[in-house]
Amino acid sequence: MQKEELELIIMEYGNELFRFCLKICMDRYDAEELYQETFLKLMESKKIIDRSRNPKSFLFSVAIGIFKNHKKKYAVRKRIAPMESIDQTLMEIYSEHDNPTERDCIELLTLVQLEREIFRLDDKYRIPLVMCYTNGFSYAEIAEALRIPKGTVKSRIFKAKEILQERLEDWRDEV
Amino acid sequence: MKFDMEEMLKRTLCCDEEVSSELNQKLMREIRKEQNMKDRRLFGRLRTPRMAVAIGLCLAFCTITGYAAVRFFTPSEVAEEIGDKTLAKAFESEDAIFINETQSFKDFKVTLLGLVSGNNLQDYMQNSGKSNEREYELGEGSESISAGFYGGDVKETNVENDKSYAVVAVERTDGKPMDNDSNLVDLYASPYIEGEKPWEVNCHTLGGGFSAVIKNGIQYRIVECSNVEIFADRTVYLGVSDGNIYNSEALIYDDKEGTLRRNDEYDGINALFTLPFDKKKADAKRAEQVLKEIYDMWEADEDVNAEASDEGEEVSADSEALSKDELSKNWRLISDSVKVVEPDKNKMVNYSYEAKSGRSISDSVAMKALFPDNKTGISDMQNFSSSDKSDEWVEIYELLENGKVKVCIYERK
Repeated sequence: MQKEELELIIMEYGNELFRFCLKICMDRYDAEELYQETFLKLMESKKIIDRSRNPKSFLFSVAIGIFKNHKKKYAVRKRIAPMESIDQTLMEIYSEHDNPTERDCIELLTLVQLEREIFRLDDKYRIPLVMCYTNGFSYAEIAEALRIPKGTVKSRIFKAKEILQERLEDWRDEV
Repeated sequence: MKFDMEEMLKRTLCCDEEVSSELNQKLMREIRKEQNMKDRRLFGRLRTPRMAVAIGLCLAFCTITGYAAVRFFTPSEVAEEIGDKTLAKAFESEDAIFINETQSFKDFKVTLLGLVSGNNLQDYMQNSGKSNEREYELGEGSESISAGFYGGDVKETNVENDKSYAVVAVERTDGKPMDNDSNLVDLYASPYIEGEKPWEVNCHTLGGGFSAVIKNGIQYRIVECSNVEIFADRTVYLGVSDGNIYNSEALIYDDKEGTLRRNDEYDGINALFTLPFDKKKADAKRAEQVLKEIYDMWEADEDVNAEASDEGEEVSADSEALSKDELSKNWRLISDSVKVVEPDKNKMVNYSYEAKSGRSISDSVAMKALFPDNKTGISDMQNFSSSDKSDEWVEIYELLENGKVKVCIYERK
């Protein structure tokens, strides 16, 4: 692909892709690396993006491919930087919000826990979930990017929500 | 109790963060590097089968025609087009800022492609007081090229070679090419500084100029002036508007707030970009020095005008004001130079004229200086100019009954 064509893609879809990378990597450094690698991979690609079709799906499918291939690298980084404890999260909540009520704290803690649980999800559930809620992809667009049937996308997102509901309830019972 | 998963997922996963311009610049540098390597690899390949060459040429052609209309040259490529390799390199450096922001108007679209600031970034440094002509090597396929310098009002200082450069692309919205040479000069692209009056601090007074080239029907313009990154602790704008000087109808300055904004009702080009400088690069001391030089110059002008009106002397140091008789006897009116101008909101008379020979004049003069008593008739203030002794011009200003000002140029017979 020519750099001129890439410039256009960056201008049009750069922000969308970056948000996806942030949510899928849960780490800014990794997200920036994945973002760059995606465009460099496109540069090497001999394919010319058909702009009359859905270039966004193609772009995301490249990013997902790289993410899956380098998953070990990202997982290692995550182990090096362990997740914060509840006390640490609470301290952050207090520092970022003025006099949070008990209800605010519970709500924010739940959201933080949900983010962790999303990260723990298997990629086959997590990726369509992020594409749907972060990027506003339709089931058809997710299906195109992941090269799976639309019905499978729908059932995976449903399943992901079920898992998250269950895990959050367990967490609440423990806390 | 069950969680409202739909709502919680929206709150957790929704993200409106934008990719930083630094990351995109870094990416673009990588892409350029990759492209260069790729090009070298292709270039180095020998004895390519004929069929492959044919397919390659066909693909290349398809790619170029498919994207020529929407893709711009990079700032570096524009600098190369005007033959300035040092500047081209500067636009490739880490200090360069890649922007690509487009603003559209009725007939034109203006895109700010990028900018760079620093010392000695140009092959040919402009020297105040010396010839403004620069020799250009026209890049292959370039349709026309032109340049103009505004005379370097900022005095010679140790910051002389410390400059800012911005590259803008101007294209027609109807898809027709910018193929007329006059398109190259009828635009004024200039930086403006928050809190400073744009008719006082602009590309002219910041010792600026421009180089323009038309490629594939798009006009690219490199605007240069003394380094404006030193004002990074304020808003620094880049305005692109019709005319050859600050256009107060197109871009409106709020005297109280010190801010500049586009006039939404203006029927022409009035692009206004905010330059994304790093605030850490602000240099208050140098900024103050540059502004002082500009304001000293304005004060000196006012003093000359005041003396002239007090003592009835001529404004120009080496020329006497001409009477009507003398004008008709020894001078000839350039008929197409006559314009009736309405003073702008700031009581400035803005006038510009370009002769067929290419020689041009662009002036912005205060009404107070021209007509201190507000009397109708010809002003005592006459602006003389000459490119050499045999080629003298004089600008004559006449206040009409309706409050407008008639401006015309005479040349020596």
